[in-house]
Amino acid sequence: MKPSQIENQLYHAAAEEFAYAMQRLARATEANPGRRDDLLQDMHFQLWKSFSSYDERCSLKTWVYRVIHNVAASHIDREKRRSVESVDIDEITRQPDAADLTELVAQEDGLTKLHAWIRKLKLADRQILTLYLEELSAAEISEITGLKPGAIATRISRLKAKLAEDFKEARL
Amino acid sequence: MTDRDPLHALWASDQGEKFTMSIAELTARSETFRTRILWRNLIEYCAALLVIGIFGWMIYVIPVWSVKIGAGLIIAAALYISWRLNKIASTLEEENGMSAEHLIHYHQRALIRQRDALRSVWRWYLLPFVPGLVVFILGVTFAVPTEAPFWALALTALINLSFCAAIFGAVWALNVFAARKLDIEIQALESLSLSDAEEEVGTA
Repeated sequence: MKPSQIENQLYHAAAEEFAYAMQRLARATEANPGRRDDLLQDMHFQLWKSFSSYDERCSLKTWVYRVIHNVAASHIDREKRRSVESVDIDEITRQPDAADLTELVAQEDGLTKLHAWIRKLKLADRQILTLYLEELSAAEISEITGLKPGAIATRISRLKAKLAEDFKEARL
Repeated sequence: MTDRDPLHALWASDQGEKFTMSIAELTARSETFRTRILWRNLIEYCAALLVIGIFGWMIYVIPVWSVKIGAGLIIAAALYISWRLNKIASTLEEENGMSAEHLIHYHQRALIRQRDALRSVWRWYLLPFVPGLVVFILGVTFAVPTEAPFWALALTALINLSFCAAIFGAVWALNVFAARKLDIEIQALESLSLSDAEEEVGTA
């Protein structure tokens, strides 16, 4: 079935507002430039198609993030046989070290390192962290992921602590 | 006032050229998508056609009824598996677009679907071939005229059947192993939901 005029308008509005978020998610998901472009196009395509079942009770922001993250999840699922290891944050109990993260941010290739680190995370952690990095609140992340805000806050704290630890070790 | 996390600034610095797609490009992508599915189906049908061709040719040239029946059953199994593979691969997303459900639920559902397909591989992928292979091997061994004694024929049949059983067993074991790995992932997602419940109790 062809998308209607309204669905096309919804897509344009969403693509205009969330284009960079999609690009950032694609970069954090796929390292290979060719496959990354394909993933990004897939995000736009699936988003466009998804508006045929758009539920207006859901905000456009929530809808877009759910669709594009589900596209990324399907991509990871197809590609995961390539991955060699994943970072486990379940054992982390301490607080993040802000000094180490500041140092990471100051590095010229800080973003590349951050992307590479995110790609090693388990899917749920990837989703939580990338949504946090998009500056979404815990309540918004909760609405998108289906997890409670408290659990998300704990997870983010652990992820940041693990990130700080991993970069500190890499520096030594 | 709370300080902005430096990671947010790092993340937001990733801008580049804005990428959007026109409706014409999206429509073209839709066509590409359909073509990709068509090719995937075509490759599966070609594999089935290859089996049909080989065993169909045997039905035609080998004048032994048990061999003909065995080959026919193998062809039927190949057709059934081809249909099942096609059914499994035709996911909801391909027809109606990507789901906008909660990420955790979407991921959990996808993993459960994969796990169930792997777990039941013996039923829909291996078992359909068994009757045809058994009839075919026994037919080729016993019904074709030969000077060899019965025990030698029985031993040949046993070796051939054991070889097939070993291959089937290996395929089954690999799939069970993959299903177990998925089970661990599903349980990890479930435990994320459980930690929600615990937290609710804790904050109540």
